[in-house]
Amino acid sequence: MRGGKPDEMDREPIREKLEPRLPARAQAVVVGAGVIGCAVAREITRYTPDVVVLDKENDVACGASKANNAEVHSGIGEEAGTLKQRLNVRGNHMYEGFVQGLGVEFKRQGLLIVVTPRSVPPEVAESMNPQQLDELLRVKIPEGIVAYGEAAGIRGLRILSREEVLKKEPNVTPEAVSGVFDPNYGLVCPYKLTIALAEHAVMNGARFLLNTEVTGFRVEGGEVRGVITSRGEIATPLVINAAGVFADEVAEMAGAGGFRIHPRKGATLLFDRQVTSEYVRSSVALFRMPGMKRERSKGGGAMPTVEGNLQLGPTAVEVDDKYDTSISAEEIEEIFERFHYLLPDFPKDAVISAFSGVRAPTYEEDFVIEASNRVKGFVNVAGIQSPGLASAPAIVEMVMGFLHELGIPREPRPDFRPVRPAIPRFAELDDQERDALIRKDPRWGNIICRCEYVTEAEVLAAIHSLIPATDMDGVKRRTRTGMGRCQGGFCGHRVAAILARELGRPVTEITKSGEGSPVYLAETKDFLRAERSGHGQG
Amino acid sequence: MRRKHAFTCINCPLSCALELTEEDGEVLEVTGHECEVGRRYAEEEFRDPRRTVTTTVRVRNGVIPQLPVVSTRPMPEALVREAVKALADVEVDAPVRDGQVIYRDLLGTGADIIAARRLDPRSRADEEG
Amino acid sequence: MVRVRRPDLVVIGAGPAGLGAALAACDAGLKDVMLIERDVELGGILPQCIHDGFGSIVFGETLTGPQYAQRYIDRLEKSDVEVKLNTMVLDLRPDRSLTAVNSRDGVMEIRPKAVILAMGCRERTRHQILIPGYRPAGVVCAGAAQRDINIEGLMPGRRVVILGSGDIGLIMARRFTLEGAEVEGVYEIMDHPGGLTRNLVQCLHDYDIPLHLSHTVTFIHGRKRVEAVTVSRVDENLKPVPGTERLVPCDTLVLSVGLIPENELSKRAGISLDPATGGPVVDERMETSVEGIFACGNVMNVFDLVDYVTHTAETAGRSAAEYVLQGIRKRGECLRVRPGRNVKFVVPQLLRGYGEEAHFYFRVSRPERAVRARLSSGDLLLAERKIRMVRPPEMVRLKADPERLKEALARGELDVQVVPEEETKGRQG
Repeated sequence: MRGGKPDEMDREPIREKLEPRLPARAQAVVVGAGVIGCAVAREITRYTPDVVVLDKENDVACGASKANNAEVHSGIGEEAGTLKQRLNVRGNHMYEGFVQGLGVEFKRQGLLIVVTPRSVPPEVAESMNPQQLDELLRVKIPEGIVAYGEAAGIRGLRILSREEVLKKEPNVTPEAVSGVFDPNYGLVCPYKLTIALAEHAVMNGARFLLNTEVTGFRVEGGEVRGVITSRGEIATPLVINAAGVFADEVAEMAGAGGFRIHPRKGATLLFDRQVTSEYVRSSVALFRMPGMKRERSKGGGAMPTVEGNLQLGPTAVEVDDKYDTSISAEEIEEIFERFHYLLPDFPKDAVISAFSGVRAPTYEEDFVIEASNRVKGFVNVAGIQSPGLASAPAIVEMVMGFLHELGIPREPRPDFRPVRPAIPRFAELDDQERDALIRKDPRWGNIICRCEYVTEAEVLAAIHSLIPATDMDGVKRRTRTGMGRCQGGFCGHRVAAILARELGRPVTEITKSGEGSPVYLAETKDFLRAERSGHGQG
Repeated sequence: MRRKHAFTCINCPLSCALELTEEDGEVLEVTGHECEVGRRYAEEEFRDPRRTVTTTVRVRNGVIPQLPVVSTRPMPEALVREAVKALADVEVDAPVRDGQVIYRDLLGTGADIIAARRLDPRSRADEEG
Repeated sequence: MVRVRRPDLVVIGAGPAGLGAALAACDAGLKDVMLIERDVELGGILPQCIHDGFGSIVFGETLTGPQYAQRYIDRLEKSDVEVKLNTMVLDLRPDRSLTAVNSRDGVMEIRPKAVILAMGCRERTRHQILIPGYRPAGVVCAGAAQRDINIEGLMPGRRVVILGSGDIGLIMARRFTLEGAEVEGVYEIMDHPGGLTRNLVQCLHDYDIPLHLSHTVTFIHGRKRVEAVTVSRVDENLKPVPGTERLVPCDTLVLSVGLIPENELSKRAGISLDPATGGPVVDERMETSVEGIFACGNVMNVFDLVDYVTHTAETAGRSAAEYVLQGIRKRGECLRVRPGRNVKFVVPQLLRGYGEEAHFYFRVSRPERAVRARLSSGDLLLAERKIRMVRPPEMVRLKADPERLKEALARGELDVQVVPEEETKGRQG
């Protein structure tokens, strides 16, 4: 079983990748390694390799990019005339091209908007006679939705009868009266996409400095000169602020602010895919008349993930703390209550996980994408909440417009490498392919995660990748270890042991999600031995 | 001095709530038991409660890093924590035989601590794998 | 190339169930038995259950988990059973063929004549009971913590709160304490403890660990590592009572909130499952709805005693051997065993009447004193046991002889019930 690591896995010592030196200067610095920051960085590398991405966390996609519903919206839910809607509709159209070469799955599952008597406020329903109400629910609302979408440039919307709704999604409430199917809705794993974008950028010369916090900017004569970080200073004429919920604070540091982010969290329940695969085939949402929406979220819905897990959510709760990723009992109750109506017999017992993310809206609720007119060279990409994932390609396009103006060459590099090789996923291969891989490297035959069928080879690849996974969650996001129904009960210590071995650290230093989150606190007997020696001293 | 002590019988699912009355260590009365087993249990738990000690000790170069061990006979309940603490510094080398004596006459109780399983050394293949 | 293997019998899982089944099949004359285990060694969870109390029925003495396992491992090593460690079964199909994988053999397509399911069970996680709060490091299931401490040599916590007073929770309360950690308390949502009295006394009482009944954890605090939990009292509907919240500082929350039979492979094979047990519906030979696939141990339902696991395993092993050696036979009509008064479920669920004695295991729905457990078919009594106290955590076993079982089959009914002692007296008098 001896043998070197597979050649594609370790091109350089991992230490070097974990703690790269801070470059003295860069043509552009991106603050924030979420999906937007990484997408912008990747785009910049099409023109110049000289871009640096900074993030205070130990991995990319540590904010909202890891905790959203993976949906690529069409724009149908957005307010007409907003920047958000325009970029969403355009971003959605651009998605196939956006993910091309990244090795990330993207599929268009569509959205089914269901119209039921609960789609209108009770007082409206009561003021009508049954025929009028039926006319409203069966004809007028669906026609209105289609007209609204078409005006925004959304194509392919289709009105469905009750029968067609129930045929398309048999688990939907029998109270459905009609529906609209929007074929443009898509699914993409948001953190896999972010990781892929980051790695694609690295392949093309970008440098990622994680665990590096921005503390200020050097601005001289109204122009950006550099970024000051917890690890030193980088001279640069160009900063792209993609700091998510912290974008307002980062902008203030440069004097390029003028907007405030107020965090709003959203909780989602995730179900066992063995139970819920095909439970809903498209995303499903209950139509609610404008003004009925809960808070200011887009109402949420039921949707599959790319992997086939059913998701229900998200909620929308204003919070004070930008780090508040907790889930309250009230939110759980709200989700159950809401979806009990839309999907009367959804499999409650098959919940395997619940997660919460913090959205980054401004008070205007629209995206703030601008080249600062106060600080030259400072570009804000802020207020990016849902549908930020869907809008990403169009956001990048818009940002690049500014960046070209500000000095990023307009000429594409001839040496840009268009394809990021993805690590195969054992679970998705057929038996012949699996067998062939094991013959080459036996670690493809060592299953680490028994729920998701993740092999040792995949865990190693994640740790030795261009953006190395250095903790349990990092490995989990890249490989799906611990994402199944046992939630890491089987693989937890196995993954920790591999991380320890590969990073050359004791297992007791392995963390769940960066500093301060050790998985194990000591070795067995350590407490007792310490007590004994403590007695000796005392 | 006369005192009362409460016990819960563990010998059957009835879980009788036992009450033992003693005077200067002499058992006067047991109440609450449904059978003789319960009465005897209360007296034992009062006079000389005993427990089998089970814990692990560190093992060097084994297939796993901890070896489960067990006392060859029940030990006084009051000594269990001390017994486990005393074993915290013990380290053995693989291979270990099932039943191999790891520690003799722990805390002068006459009970030996033995290996509760066979533990093979880590093979070269394991190290390389 | 994917290798094709054609053993007589494949046993999936090498815990007490798989070990017992493989050995029983060998003893019954099967030559070519393959035992597949995904872990690095044999024994399932027994090697981590270092406490004593195993084997009083099978061996007439109490052993620790590793000792119990060692007896079977020793026998297995002398047998002809082919053991595949570090091997994962990826798929099981209704035609009994399966796909397994390991580093050495690669992908194996295995087409045995019979299969025994012995995959055991897994733990319920925090999300299955939906505890609100953050998702920090330091929330672990009791069985996983047991493995960490006793096998991997790692302490997952120092200041511990335990949710759930099932036996594993109680045993881990003692184990953490003995290893120098501090157990703040055990919290149980029900108004009665989940574990055996023996464990309440010897794991909690001996160490002055408080047990808080009718309490649950209502929030997990700490973004990176657990910093505290909020506990609340619950009302009779098990809903937290507002105003009873209390913050308990800790670095670890250990969950002992239930076990679930591991039947993902059974589902793939199209085997009928019993919603009451979470495991396959089996007959008295432990054969499932798919001919030639047998089940035993905790994959059927979560047993309280390993001795019962071994018994069902031996039945499954013997039956599978006979199935293979006698070739294809037609399965008889079957009779559904009915759970009656104060009976939550019964395994096996079906009776076919093979002319052998059979054991029926059941769990009661609620505690009851002074009862008789009865297996009957109309006025024909097949088995009866007088029991002073029955409780849901403790399973009851009844044995019936072949003649009477045959008669019950002819009558077309078989019931298991728990009746109060007075009632039986009255009727007899």
